[in-house]
Amino acid sequence: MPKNSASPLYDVLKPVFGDKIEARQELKGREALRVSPAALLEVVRHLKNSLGFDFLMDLSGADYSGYPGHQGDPLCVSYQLFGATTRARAWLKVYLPLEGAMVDSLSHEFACANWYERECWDMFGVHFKGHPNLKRLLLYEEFVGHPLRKDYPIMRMQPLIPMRNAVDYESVAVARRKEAEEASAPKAGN
Amino acid sequence: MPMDITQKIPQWKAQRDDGFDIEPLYINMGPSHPAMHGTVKMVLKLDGETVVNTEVEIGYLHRCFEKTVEQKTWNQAIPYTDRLNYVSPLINNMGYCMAVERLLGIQVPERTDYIRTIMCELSRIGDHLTCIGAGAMELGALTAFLYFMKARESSWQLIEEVTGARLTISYGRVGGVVRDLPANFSERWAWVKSQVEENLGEVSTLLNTNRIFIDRMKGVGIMPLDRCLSYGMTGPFARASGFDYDLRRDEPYFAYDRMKFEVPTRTGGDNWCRYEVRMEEIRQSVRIIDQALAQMPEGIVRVEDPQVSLPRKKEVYSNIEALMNHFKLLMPGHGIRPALGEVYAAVEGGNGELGFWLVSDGGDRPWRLRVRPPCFPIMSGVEELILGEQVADIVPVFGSVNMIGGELDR
Repeated sequence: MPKNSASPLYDVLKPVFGDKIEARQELKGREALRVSPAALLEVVRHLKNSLGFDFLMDLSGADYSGYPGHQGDPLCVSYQLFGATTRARAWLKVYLPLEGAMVDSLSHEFACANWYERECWDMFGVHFKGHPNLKRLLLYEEFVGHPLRKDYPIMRMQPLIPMRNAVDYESVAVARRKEAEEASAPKAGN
Repeated sequence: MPMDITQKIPQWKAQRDDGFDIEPLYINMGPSHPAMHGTVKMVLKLDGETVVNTEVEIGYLHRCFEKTVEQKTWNQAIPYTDRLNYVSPLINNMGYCMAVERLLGIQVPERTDYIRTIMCELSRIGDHLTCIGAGAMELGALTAFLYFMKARESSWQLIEEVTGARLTISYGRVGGVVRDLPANFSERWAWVKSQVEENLGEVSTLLNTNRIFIDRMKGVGIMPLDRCLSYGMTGPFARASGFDYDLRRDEPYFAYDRMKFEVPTRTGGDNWCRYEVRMEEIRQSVRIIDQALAQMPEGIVRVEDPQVSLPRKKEVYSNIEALMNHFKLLMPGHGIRPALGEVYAAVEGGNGELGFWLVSDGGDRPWRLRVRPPCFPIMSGVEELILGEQVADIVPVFGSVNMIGGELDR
């Protein structure tokens, strides 16, 4: 089982961040902290620079729409942080709405977040603000929808796409990137 | 501090000294390419033979694993986990079962822990043999590949004798394993061990002082420790860069806390170090199996808990309670139903930390089953790893990454 640090992370972070740490969950002997999406980058930076969590073990999403007892926004992004020297683990979660789900990208803090976030965008449609190259990773650019969301029917057929050549493919990628940048621009100001 | 990757790119000249314009050459390497074991595509931008930019494209083996298992019961997900890492399926099997057991809060019998340890190490030996053998073959050392395939064949024969299958083994069960080891397991293991050690010695002699092999491996594909940590790499790849982390020792599961073994590390971070770490790990795995067999207690191999284990067939046919129990475990909507909760559990896979994040809504199906594939962060670092190297060096670098499409694309 993962080693526990001297005091629970909640007690360490709550005095520093106050309401930005929204809640704590006890999950089979481990604590997961629910962080406000706006404060995620700040909390992760603090964990990385002051508390030694310098390693991103996993980043993934989950859709809690209809999950028994779940309150608040349904789309969850979970972060498994790890200390390369301390060997401690931290589990952070942010919850986002299904429409316009957006959270800060960690790709400037951890190099591996680049691909993890692309996968999360691919599967859940979470937009990561500040990601340098947010496009689909496992699926193809023309795929419609985000399949790991609960409202995506398992038997849905995808439209056939025409044969493409390298030039077309590049233009599609560029257009998608531009689209994503435009989508993030007005919301970044809010 | 992130390394300045631009330093690795050779100075780009738009015009050569002799006045001729040059333009970069774009090459698609893959998705189906003889040196790309696994389907992956690399778009290379080349200046002569030197890689100046890369884009790695994955997803060619995507089989909707995570969406599919949400429609299956907890037990039905077990065969799907075999196909995650098809070189060491037992580790994936056992890792998933362990995660579900943590979610249920059940303790498996002690003998099961030892059986799982043995089978995982047997799988790890096969995994490393394949990685080194295939990597050496791509550099022209076909003999080393054949020796290692011979050794792997013996270990797979043993796996077949235990599980009944070579690849799609589905040997793990929630709460234990399907059946006990065969009676002659120790003698058979002695034979496999002799095969593995003999071939390991032969291949070491062939490769360790081989000028061509050394030149292609040493100093090629260097991953410095700071970048390795930033990329979240684990396993033999990270240990070759000096990140001394092994889940078997640091967060022991199964029977690893009772085993004596060393975690080999190197600091060079190049292909050669990764080769050395994997070779050494095979020897350590042999050591672990020897100890586990010597210490293994007698006993049952599946927990006697009617909530997770099927009753014995003899009892199903002879009394009503066992028959009801049987149907309660197999009917849709019944079966194994962990209470509302979540767990993240990880085991040391062939390539590093293999994590399972399970979310249960109290039903008979996983609400969410996330796999943290160990070669995913390593593959995301390949773009940086081959920058500034020659095209021919992509092959050994990619070989030492040990990409497994099944777990990478899921």
